[in-house]
Amino acid sequence: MSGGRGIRFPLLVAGLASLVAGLFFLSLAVGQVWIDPLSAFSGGSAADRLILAEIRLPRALLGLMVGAILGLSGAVLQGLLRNPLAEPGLLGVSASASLGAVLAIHGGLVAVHAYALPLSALIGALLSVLLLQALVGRSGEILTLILAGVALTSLAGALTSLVLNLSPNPFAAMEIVFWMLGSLTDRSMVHVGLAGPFIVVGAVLLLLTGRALEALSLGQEVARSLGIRMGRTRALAVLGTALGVGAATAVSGAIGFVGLIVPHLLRPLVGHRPGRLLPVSALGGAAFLLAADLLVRVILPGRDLKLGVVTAIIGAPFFLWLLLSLKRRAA
Amino acid sequence: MSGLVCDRITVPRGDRLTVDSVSFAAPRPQLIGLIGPNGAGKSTLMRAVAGLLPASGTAVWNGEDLTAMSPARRARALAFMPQERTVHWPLACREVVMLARLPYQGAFAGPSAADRRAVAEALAAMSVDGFADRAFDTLSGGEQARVLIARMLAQDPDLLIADEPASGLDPAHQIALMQVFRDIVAGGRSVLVSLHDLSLASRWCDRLLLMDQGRLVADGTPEEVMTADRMARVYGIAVRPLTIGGSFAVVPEGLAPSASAQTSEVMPIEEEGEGNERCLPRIA
Repeated sequence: MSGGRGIRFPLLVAGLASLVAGLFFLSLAVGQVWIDPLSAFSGGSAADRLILAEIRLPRALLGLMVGAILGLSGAVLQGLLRNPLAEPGLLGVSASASLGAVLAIHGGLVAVHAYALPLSALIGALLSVLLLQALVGRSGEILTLILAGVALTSLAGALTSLVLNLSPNPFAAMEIVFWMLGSLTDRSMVHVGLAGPFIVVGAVLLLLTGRALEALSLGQEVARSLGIRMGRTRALAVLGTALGVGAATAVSGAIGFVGLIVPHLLRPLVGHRPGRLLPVSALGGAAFLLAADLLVRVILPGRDLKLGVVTAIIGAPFFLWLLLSLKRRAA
Repeated sequence: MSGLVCDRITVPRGDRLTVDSVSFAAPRPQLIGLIGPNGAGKSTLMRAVAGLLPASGTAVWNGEDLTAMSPARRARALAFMPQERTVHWPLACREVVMLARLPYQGAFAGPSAADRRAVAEALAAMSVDGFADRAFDTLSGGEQARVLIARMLAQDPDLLIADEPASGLDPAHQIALMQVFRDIVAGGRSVLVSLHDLSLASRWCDRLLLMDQGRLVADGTPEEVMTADRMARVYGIAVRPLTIGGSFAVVPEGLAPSASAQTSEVMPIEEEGEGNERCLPRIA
């Protein structure tokens, strides 16, 4: 019965939402010192309150938002391209944001103003969308979109390598490499304020594609005969990814695998429905990233282990296992 | 004027016309069969009428030009089923059919009672209600086809356009499908369907449109269209006209001797008859 799936869906959403809430709470509590967030606000020490408000809260908020937008964007792109291997980095937005950030580090802008880096990364992401739109144009063929994304990723990657190559200062090169590994450490509420609006707007645009993605299960032609405007759907997906993932990359660096794995993992739980996968993937992405960020703090507390490294180290073997188990079930 | 009126529909592709100025007027309700050899332009004509590719000319349905209608409005007026039978995710069959109700649902609204009823009726009409909760990719080809036909039925339009819906179905389900189409027509709607099975087309359709090389070469009742002479010229086959239960039907007997002789001088006849350029005069 569709009713049977309908009952499970709210339960799934509620379950994931409480998981995210729990991890968010833990994210406030766990670190160099254990702080109980509830008692800290009602009457803890001033130091505890300071750590919570200035260090842990921005980090938890960014983990929530960045994870959510990565999961959501991955689910949208997989639905749009009808390919389970699509992920937020596909359109070249993350690579372009990284290039912007790298240029800011290399040019010494970082020293001039603390927020030059995320701003410069954001400009990189937005420029990449303009370029993408110019390349794809109004024709908006899906294949052209993928190829343009691949080209943009390679170009931004090559330019990033060029900057590293020509970097006269080994410390700047080091900083670039570390930034590119992706992390949520030492971010402030200004980072949250900077990325937040873009991520929220991007998420809204992405969520608007749900209906179209459902219809696209039957192919582009039938989707159009069901009243879906393909140009609009594609524009929402591209713009939403650029704003959201661009802003996320700008404040956290490139964090891989979340957008690829999370939709993949949750798809069977929503009966493979691409529209329903969207809110679920946003919650799943948030949970995944918050959990990974907790691991980073717990495994090697003193060593500043990078979040992007951990998501890839957990993600890649897990993805392999998933592929193999799916294959075994199919056989 | 009510019904479907197509006026000089033309679809260019490269430097040739895939559909070359096709005009016909069909007062509703009718079961219209579109027949013709491979590459005749049947699928392209159907897509043009459904507003899915740029075409010149007009396709007027109940006084409104389908090619100029807003997508949302057209989605309630007509349903289209392409020949390709792909569902990209392993959705449950009921969900596949439920997709037909998207034009009736608000942006974030779930299915209404009317949507559930339409889906249940469509599943029953194609007798696929028994595996409504199975994943689409676990079904056989014929079963998948029936689920996709049910999807088209559930859209509940006034005009159904289906490209080769009967191919891959066993005889019982082919006949059941044509019976479903007849019921739809009896209910006051129209069906435009392309068919390769000439017996099925002749036995069940009110009217046949015969296409060849992008042009409409004959338009009328099956008896008028499927003359032995014309079948030999367009398809290169010999047909035997029959009367079954008082109605007309044809059965293909073999290749038309003159046609096969003539074409084989130009090029050998391919197994599928694909791209078989005939150098015979076309009838206008």
